[in-house]
Amino acid sequence: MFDVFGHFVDGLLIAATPMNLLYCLIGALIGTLIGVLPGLGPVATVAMLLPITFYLPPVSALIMLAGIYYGAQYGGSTTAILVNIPGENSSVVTCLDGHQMARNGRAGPALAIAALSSLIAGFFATFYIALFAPPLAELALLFGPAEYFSLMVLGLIAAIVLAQGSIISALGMIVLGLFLSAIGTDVNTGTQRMTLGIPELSDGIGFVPLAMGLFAIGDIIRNLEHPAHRVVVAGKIQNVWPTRDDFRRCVGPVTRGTVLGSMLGILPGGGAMLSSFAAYALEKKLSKEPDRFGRGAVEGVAAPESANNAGAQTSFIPLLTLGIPANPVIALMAGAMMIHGIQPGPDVMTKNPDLFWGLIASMLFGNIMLVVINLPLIQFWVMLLKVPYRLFYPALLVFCCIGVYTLNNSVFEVALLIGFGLLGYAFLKLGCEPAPLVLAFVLGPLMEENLRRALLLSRGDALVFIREPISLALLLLAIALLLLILLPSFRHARGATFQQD
Amino acid sequence: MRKLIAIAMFVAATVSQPAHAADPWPTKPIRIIVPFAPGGTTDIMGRLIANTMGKNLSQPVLVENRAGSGGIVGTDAMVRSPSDGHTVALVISSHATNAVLQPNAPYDPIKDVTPVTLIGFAPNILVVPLSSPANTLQEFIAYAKANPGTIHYGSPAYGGSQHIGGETLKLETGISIEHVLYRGSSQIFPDLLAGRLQTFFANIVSGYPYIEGKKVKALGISSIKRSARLPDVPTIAEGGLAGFNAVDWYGILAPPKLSPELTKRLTEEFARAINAPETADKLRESGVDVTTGTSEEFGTFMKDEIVKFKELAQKVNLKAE
Repeated sequence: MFDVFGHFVDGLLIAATPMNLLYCLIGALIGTLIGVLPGLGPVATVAMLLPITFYLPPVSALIMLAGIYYGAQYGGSTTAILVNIPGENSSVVTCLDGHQMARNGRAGPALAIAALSSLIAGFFATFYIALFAPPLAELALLFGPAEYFSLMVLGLIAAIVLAQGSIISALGMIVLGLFLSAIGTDVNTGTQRMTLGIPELSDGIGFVPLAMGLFAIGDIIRNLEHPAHRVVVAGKIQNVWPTRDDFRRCVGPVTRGTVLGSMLGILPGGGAMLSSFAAYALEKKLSKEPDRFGRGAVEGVAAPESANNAGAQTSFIPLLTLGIPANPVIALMAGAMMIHGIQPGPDVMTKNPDLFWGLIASMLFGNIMLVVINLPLIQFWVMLLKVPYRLFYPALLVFCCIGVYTLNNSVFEVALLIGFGLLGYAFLKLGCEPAPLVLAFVLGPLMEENLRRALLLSRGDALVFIREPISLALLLLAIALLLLILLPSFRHARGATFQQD
Repeated sequence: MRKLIAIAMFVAATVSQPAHAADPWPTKPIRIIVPFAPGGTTDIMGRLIANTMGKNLSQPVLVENRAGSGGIVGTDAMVRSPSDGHTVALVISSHATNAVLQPNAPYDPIKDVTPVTLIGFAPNILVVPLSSPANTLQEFIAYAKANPGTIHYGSPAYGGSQHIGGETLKLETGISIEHVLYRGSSQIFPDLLAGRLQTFFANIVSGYPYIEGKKVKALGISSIKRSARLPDVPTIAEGGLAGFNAVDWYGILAPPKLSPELTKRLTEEFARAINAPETADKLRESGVDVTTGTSEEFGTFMKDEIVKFKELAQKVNLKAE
C-alpha cells in the first residue's frame, strides 16, 4: 500500500514538470476541440498526431494522447447537450436529458453538471487505477465470450429503461437496431450480409452517421416544421450555474455512476461504453420520479457523464497491465508506445514505472484543466444558442456533413446521414425513442460475435451460459431487471400515452 | 498573417524548385491510402513512411484511411485515382488473398495496379497459454492428436496469414483443431491468457510483448528464418514441418499504367524513406523484416502469392463468398 503511495507521488512529480503539464494542457485543449466539432473523433485525431509524438519523450506523448482521449469525452457531451449531437457513443445518453435541459433554457447548468460530474469521476478513477490496476486486470480475464454475451443481454434489457413511452415501441427499436447492426461482413465466415453489393456497407453502417442522423438531423427537421418554434431554446435562458437543488440531486447519481463506470471500464470491448447506458438506466429505476427522465432531469446528465469518464480512464487498465487495448483510441496509444520501444503489457509497470505512474498521475491534472477550460466556455456556448435558428441550423447541417465525410472520406456516409436524419424525424413523429435503437446497434455485433464464439468454444453446448458462474449471475440479473420493468409499466404504459402530446 | 503565408509559400517554392527542376514529380502533396482503420499496424507503418518521405521530398505526404472490406474499399480508391504518382496505397497480404476470397472485387489485383515496392514481412508465432501441456511444437502436435476436436485456434481475419497458418498446420500434421474467428488480435489474447482458447498464430507485432513478458509460450515462428527480434524462438520448419511459411507482407501499389520513369522514381523514393534509419529501425523494433525491391520483383512476388493461395484455398477448403 505504502509502495503504491510512493509510486503515485513519483508519478505526480513526473506529471507536474512544466513540459508534461504543457502537453497535458495541449491534449486537453485538442480533446475538447475535437469533441465539440462533430465528426472528427479522437481516433482520427490521435492517428494524425502520432507522427508528432515520435519527437516527444514517451511520457509526454502518452500524457498528451490520453488528454485528447478524455478531453474528447468532455467535448462530446457539450455537443450532445447543446445541439443533440452525440459525438461519441458514450454521449448518446447525455443527449436524452442534457438536450432537454438545453431546450428548457438550462444549457448552462447541464454543461456545468456534466463537467463537474466528470471531474469527480475522473479523480476517483485515477486513485482507483493507482490502487487496484493489477488485480483488476486479472478480473478482466475472467470475462470470456459467454460472460460478454450475458453482459450484452443485460445491456439490452437495460435499454428498455432508457425509453419513455411504451415498452412495445422500445422493443421495436431494439430489434430494429439489432437488424441494422447485422448489416456487414459475417464475422465467422467473411460472407457479406445484406450489403446489397455496396462495398461501403461491407463493414457495416457507421455509428456516427447513424447516431448523428437519428438525433441531430431528425431534431433539426422537427424544429423546422413549426416556424414559430424555430429556436434552439424554447424558454428563456435561466441561470448559467446549477442551483443548490441540482447539486443535491446529483450526489447519488454521480457516486453510483462513478462506481459503475470504474467497474465496467476495465472490460475491454464495450465495457466503458455500456457504463453510461447502465448508469442512466440505474438512476431512472432508482428515482422516485422516473417521469422526469427524458424531460430534462439533471440526474440524467450527471450519472452517465460520471460513468463515461470513469469508464474512459479505467479502460487504460487492460492496456497497461495486459497489453489489451479496450477501444480503438487506446489501440492507437499502444501503437504510440510501441513506436517509442515500450511494449504495452504486463511489464510496463515494472520496466517503465515512470511512464505508468506519470500517465496515471497526469489524469488528475488533465481533469482539473478540463474543468478550467470548460467552465468559462459555458457562457460562450450558451450565447451561441441565442443565434437565430435560420442561421444556426444551416451551419449545423454543414458541420454534420463535413464531420461525417471526414470520417472515411466517403460521400456514401453522408447519404447515410441524410437517410437516418429522415428516419429520425419519422421516429420523433411516431413517438419512438432512438436511444434503445442506438444501444442495440452498438451491442448487436458484440453480442452476436460472443454468442457464436462461446458456442464454438463449447462445441455447440448452449448450457455454457448458465454453467459459467459470472455469466449465470448476469443472466439472472437481466431476468430480474426485466421483471422489474414489466411489472409497474403495464399500469404505467397507459399513463405515458396520455402524457404524449 | 496572409502576408506571412505568401512569403512562406514563395520561399518554399524557390527553395524546392531547383532540386526537382528537371522532374515534374512531385508537384503536389502525395497521398498514401491506407485501406485499414487508423491505429492498426498498417496505419502506423504508413505514417512512419509518410513522415520520412515528406521530409525527403519537401512535399507533404498524407495518410488517408479508407477502411472496409478487407482492404478492397481503399485499394479501389487508389486504382481509380489518376496515374500521376501522387496517389499510392499501402497494401498487405490480403491484396493477394482477396483475389481468391473476394472474386467480385471491382478491380483486378494484378492488371489494375502498378507495383512500387515491397516494404517487408511480419512473421506469426504459434503461441499457447502457460497452462498448456505443450512446450514444443512436437509436444503440441502430440497433444492435439491425443485430444482430437477439443482444441481451438483463433485468428483475426478470415483468409489472413494467421488463419492460413492454422489451416496449413492442420493439413501438414493431420491434427484436428477448430478455427474460431475474432475481430482483431487484441480480442484473442484475453481468451488465450485465460486458457479458453488453446492456441493461435500471433502476429509478431502484437505478440512480442506477451512472449517477451513470458505470459505465453512460443512454440514456433512461421517464417523460413528465425526473427532477429525473437532469436530464441525456433522456426516451425525446425520443429519438423519443412518449408513451413505463412507470413504477412506489406507493399506499396500505385494506380494502373504508371509510366516506367515515374514508377522508377516512386520505387526509389519509397525505398529511401523505408530504409532510412528513422523508419526502418522503428519497423524492425516492432518485428517487421524490412525488405524493399524493384517494381518487377514485387509484381512477380504478388503473382506467385496469388497462385500459391489459390492452391492452398482449394486444399483446405477456404470458401470464396
